[in-house]
Amino acid sequence: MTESASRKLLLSADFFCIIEEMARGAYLGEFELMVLLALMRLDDEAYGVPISREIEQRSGREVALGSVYAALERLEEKGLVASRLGDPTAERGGRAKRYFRITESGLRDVRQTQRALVSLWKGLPGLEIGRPKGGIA
Amino acid sequence: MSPRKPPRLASWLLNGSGFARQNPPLAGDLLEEFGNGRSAGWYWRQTAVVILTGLMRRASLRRRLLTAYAIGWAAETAIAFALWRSHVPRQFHPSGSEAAAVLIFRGSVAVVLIALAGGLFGLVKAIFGDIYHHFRALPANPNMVMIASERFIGLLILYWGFALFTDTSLWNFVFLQSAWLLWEVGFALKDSRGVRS
Repeated sequence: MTESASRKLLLSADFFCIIEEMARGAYLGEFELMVLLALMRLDDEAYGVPISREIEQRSGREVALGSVYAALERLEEKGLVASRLGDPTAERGGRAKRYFRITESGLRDVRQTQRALVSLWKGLPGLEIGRPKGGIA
Repeated sequence: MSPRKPPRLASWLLNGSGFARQNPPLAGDLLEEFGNGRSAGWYWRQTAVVILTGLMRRASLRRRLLTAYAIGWAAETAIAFALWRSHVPRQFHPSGSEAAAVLIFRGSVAVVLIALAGGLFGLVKAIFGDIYHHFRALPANPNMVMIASERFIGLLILYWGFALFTDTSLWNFVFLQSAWLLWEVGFALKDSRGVRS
C-alpha cells in the first residue's frame, strides 16, 4: 500500500470515528460545556441560582434559568450529571432546591471536548491562550 | 418585612401552565432570585423562557405525533381545496379515489400552497392545543371541547364552500354537526367528571 493510500485510509477511519463520536454525543455544545464547568466550580453548592450566576459572571451575559434547567435535564438524561433534592425553604415558596453534580462520564466528556477544542485552537495566529488579542509577536 | 411579590400575571402564567408544576425547584429558584432584588422585567423574561423551552421540549418529545398532525391536515386541506376548486363532485360524495384523481390530474401550485398552509395550521393547532391542555385554570379535559368546536366551525366553513357550488343542503349539515358536537361535549364532560372524582 502506498503512503498516500494508507493516509487516505487513516483519514477515512478518523472520519468514521468522528461520526461515531458525534452519534454518541461525546462532544458537548457550548452552553452544556459552560453548565458543566460551572458545576465543577461550585462543587456541592450547585443549584439553579448559583449555576446561572456563575455563567453570567464569567460570560458577561444574562442567562435564563429555564435554559439552564433544560441543559441540565438533557445532561442528566445522558448520564453526565446527577441530582438530589434539598429541603424546601419559605423564601422559595416552600419549594426545594435541586442540587446537581457532575458524574464520571460527564468529567470524561468535558476532558474530551477540552482536548478537541485545544487541538483546534493550537497554531491559530492571534488566538493562542495567554496571548494578547491580535498579538503575533 | 414581607417578601417581594413577583408580577401577578407572570406568576399566574408560570403556575397555571404545567411547566412550573413539573419543575418546582425551577419555580423556587425564580422566586429566590426575585426576592434577591431582580426586576419585574427579569421575572417576565424568565417566565417567557421557561414556557418556550418547555414547549420546545414537549414538541421534540412528540415530534412524530406533530408530524402526523401536520401531514394529516395538509392532505385534508389539499383534497378539500382540490374538490372545491374543480367543483367535483356536483353532489358531496367524499370518495378518496375521486379526490386523489382531482389532486393528480388537476393539481396546481395553489393546491400545494394550500396543503402547506394546512399543514402549518395543523402544526400550530396541535402546539396550541397542547398549551391549552396544559393550563390548570381551564376545564380538566378541554381538548375534546376545543377539538369539537374547531372541527364544527372548520367543517361549517368548508361545507358552506361546497354548498355554494353544489345543491346539498347546508341545514342538513348544521343539524348533523350540532348533534355530533353535543355528543362530543357530553363525552368530554363525562370524561372530566371521571378525572376529577
